Amino acid sequence: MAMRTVDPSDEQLVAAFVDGDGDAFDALVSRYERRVFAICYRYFRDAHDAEDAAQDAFVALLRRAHTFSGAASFSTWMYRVATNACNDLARKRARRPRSVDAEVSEVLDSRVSHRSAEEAFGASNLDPALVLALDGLDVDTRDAVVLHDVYGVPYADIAQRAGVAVGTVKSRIHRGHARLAAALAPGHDPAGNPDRLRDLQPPTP
Amino acid sequence: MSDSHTPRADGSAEDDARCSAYLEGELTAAEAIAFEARLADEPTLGGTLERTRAALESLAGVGAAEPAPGYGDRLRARLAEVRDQQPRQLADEGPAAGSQPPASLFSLPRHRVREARPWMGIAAALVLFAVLGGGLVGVLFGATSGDETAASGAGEADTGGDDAGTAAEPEVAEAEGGDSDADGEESRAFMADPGTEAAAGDSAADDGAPPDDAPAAGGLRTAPSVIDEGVALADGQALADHMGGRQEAVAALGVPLPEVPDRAERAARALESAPPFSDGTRAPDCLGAATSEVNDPALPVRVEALTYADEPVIAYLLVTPDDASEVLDQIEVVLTAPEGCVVRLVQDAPGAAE
Repeated sequence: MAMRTVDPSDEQLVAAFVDGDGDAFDALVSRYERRVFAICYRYFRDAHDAEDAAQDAFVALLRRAHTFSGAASFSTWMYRVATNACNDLARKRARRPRSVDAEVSEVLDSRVSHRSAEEAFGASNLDPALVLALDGLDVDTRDAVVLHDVYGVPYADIAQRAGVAVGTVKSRIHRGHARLAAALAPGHDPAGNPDRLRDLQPPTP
Repeated sequence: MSDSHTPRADGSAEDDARCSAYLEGELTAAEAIAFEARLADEPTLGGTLERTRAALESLAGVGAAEPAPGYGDRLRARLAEVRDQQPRQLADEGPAAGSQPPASLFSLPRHRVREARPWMGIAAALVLFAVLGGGLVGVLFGATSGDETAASGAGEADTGGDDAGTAAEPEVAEAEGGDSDADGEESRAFMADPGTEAAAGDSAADDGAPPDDAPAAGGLRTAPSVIDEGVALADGQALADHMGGRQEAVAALGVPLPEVPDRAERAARALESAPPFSDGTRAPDCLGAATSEVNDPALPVRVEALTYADEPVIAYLLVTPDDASEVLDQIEVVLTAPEGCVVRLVQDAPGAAE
């Protein structure tokens, strides 16, 4: 009978690392290096800053793995570590994500903006349920979520564009995230819109 | 609204949004701690958190750029550098490096600096004189109060003739506390190894110029002092008394602004090599939050774990320029909560002891 090798879970790897297994840490780095970079790139929209922040995130993992309690999955814990690394690096360098003008020009030059958002989403491996959920959001919420999460536009700039307070934008985005998460809930039956993603275009000045 | 998807219908929409704020690092420290406490007991909340993270990660992947070539190699090189330090720091403890909480670093024997430098011997002698004479302090950037001087000085004196076998290791110096601030407890002071900069490619030691962390120019050094003495301060006056007149800050007054960014970057790097505080937090963790509260460019000169108004904080002593100044000319202290780096207080610190 053929033996089947089962890869250890993230949680098993981090436990092994805390017990002194350096190879387990290497395995975690291999699993997460691209994911963490993507998270940081979304934050900075700059590959250099994203790489620096990603390095900081893995250094934090190296130093704080013992604090992982397992209350959330390792993926979620690592997401937080990465986000905190981005926030800290931005503060350290007094460099927030690009201002609205720079952001727009950068986005227009980016590979995303050379095609419509629909093409970008279509070319991605985005969960179809998530795509439908995005399309189901009201326009204000969807715009805020896409600008923030796909194009990396800072809260303040989204607020400026929309003519609302920053707090309103944050609220919209967090509410939008909650709805997207709900769309991924087991048993959820998304009601797709035939014109989905029709308005998801790159930001314009 | 035309939303076709709605959050959970059990009245927990606020919790759902809170998952997003948590993942984005936007909760206060207290809120984050409370949220994490609930995660263990509320599987539904945990499930929502997982799905929110999955959604955010999926969105982040749309249009994400490829890392620059060599990203993986650079990442592993940096991690190897960090890992090279930690096992050696923990080697005397016996168990594997990863199994030890960071706080255990404080109980380790002193570590030796990589190389002896002429100025270090002079510094050690001056500090020894300061300790014995009881009056001359402030020669070293990281040594101000009496016991801190003793701590740092002891480390310096121990290292004077060491070989290069422990490159890039931070120096941990310990001294029995006699300072009333420490309430008689053992005090711990740390000065990041100045030699680590040379190891990292700094050319100051190689081009014949004196290292910029040498104490020659008014006692100004690269490495901020990192202090963990268990000091408890009741209010702003106590804070001013404690931080006022710190020699490491006074020594930085007058530094021309063009020199500050490079010095600040070196100071930040030095803090990276400092062992964690006894509660597991680290000196550089909230540096960005602290410096964002004061004028640019800010030079960190002292980082201290202490209790302020019964709340644990990391205190950053920063030397900054006034609005129209061309040199560093004011001293400020910023208190941050260790969790979340929420800034609790920004206060001027007197340049002279009160």
